[in-house]
Amino acid sequence: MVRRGRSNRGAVAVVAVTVMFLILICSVLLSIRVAAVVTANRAQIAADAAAHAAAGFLAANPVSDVLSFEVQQNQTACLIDAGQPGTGAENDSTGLCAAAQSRAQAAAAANQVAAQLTSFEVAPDTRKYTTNGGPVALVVILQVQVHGPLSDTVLCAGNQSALGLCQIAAWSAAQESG
Amino acid sequence: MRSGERGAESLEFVALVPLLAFVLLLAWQGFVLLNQQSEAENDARALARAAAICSLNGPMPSLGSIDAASMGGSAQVDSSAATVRVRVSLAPHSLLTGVDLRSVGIPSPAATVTMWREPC
Repeated sequence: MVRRGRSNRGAVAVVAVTVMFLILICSVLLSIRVAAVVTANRAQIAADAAAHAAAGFLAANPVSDVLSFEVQQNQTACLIDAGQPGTGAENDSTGLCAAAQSRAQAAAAANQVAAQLTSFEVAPDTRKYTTNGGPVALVVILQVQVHGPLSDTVLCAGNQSALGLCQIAAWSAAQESG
Repeated sequence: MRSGERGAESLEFVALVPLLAFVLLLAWQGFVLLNQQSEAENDARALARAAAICSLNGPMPSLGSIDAASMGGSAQVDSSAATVRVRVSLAPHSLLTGVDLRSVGIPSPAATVTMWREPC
């Protein structure tokens, strides 16, 4: 019978502890990744709800024809982007742009409390352009941002959004019918 | 190694195998539940979209018609003049036949989606 030396004693225990440790590490990493996927799914739901709420709001408002003309003449008339200077609801004379954005923000927050609109744009549906230059259906395009699973940790203190786990963004769009 | 300790490592390893299997089973069960959570959110979104559009376009679909895997699940629709709120709750699927996960405190995968009504 082969006799094992002192160095082999406890080898199984070392392997078992190592395997358990690896399982633990993998579980933690996997849990963070899963939490990110779940958060991204909820962010997408918030974005979809926001886009459809704004599009529905514009569709129900008769003044949206005026906004349609405005965005055809000036593409940034209803472009609200926190990271882009020169954009804002004040470019729109009807006030509909700000009201639609407010509706979108409310819809996003109703689905994800901390959801924030980071960009919001109402644009003309270029497929519906007519030769007589009349009003065309409007398209709402927006982006929603929510806190990721690591947003409250020290890893995100330096705003390391590149990790994809600090802030999670979702994009959505909806258009008026017609 | 003394004669009385022969095979001790093998016995320890054999004893660990069920523990490892249990950990893997728990992990698998966790993924099944997470997958159901994702399904619940998708179902809630689909039903909310259907409820938000004009009712003249037709009756609202049932949970079973949009997700055949939602056996035992339920959908609750709260409507107001401006919004619709849909809550979908699915029966948690257990890997062990005959075990009702709700009876051991595992919450049902559930999701709530709120949407503004679209004009007719």
